[in-house]
Amino acid sequence: MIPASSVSWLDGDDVVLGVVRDGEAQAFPAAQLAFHHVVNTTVAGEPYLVTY
Amino acid sequence: MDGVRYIFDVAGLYNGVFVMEDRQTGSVWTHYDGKVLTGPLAGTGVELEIQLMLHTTWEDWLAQYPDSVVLDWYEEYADRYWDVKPGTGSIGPQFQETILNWDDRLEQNVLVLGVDTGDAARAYVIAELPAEKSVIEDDLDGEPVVVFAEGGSHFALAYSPILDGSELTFTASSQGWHSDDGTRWDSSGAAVSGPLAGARLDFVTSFVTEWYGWAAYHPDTSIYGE
Repeated sequence: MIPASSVSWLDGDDVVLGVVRDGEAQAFPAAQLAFHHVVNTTVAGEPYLVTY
Repeated sequence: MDGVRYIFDVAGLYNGVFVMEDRQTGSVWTHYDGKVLTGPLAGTGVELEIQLMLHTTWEDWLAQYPDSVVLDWYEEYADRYWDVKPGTGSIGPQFQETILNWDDRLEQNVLVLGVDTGDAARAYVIAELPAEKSVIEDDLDGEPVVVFAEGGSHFALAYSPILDGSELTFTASSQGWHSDDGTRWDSSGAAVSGPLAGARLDFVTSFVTEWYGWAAYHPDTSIYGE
């Protein structure tokens, strides 16, 4: 995962999916999820599966 | 689940959406409702718990979570990434023929917020929501639900308006969603200022999705406003 401030490839109207838990926030651009479909990740210490 | 962390890979297509296989047992799960279809875990009652996930524009996300992190860009897949416009286009015939419940009440790819209380399901058409932040106070078979929405960002999610036994009523402004006691809430259902600051609304299972999938997995769904 990379800091949001470093992301250069997204336009303002691009859709992202975002997970928010206990002060942590992670975004997953739809353009990438539509290829990967699943991302196994961890948010605030909890296992998460992001699907699209 | 039960102390085991399952890791998932894409495994195929079922009822219009892809399914996944876990590496630990080889069981096949639907990604849409987190239930096991076949394999060693079938019939055990194990299922994934659907968590709150915001569906919004990058601009809106950045404004809310400037310090967040974003999925890495994998250059080796760059030519497979594509400019997704949710709610447009149509699914291919090979997808359509797997769908067990095809529902013509809406166009197949219309973007909806699907809400499932466990006893009732309802779809809210995103394109019919106001572009700015708005609130829908609704009732699904006797269960009160409040929808926070911002149509222009393709954002909507559902929460329970009941907090500590009392039912809150809501309005919206450009600053957020407001309960009538003066508390301001953010899109994730967290109270950010006012008397209830620090509180959190209970999430009601809901996510933004295309109609064909919602209808396939919720044949009894109603449509808000109809």
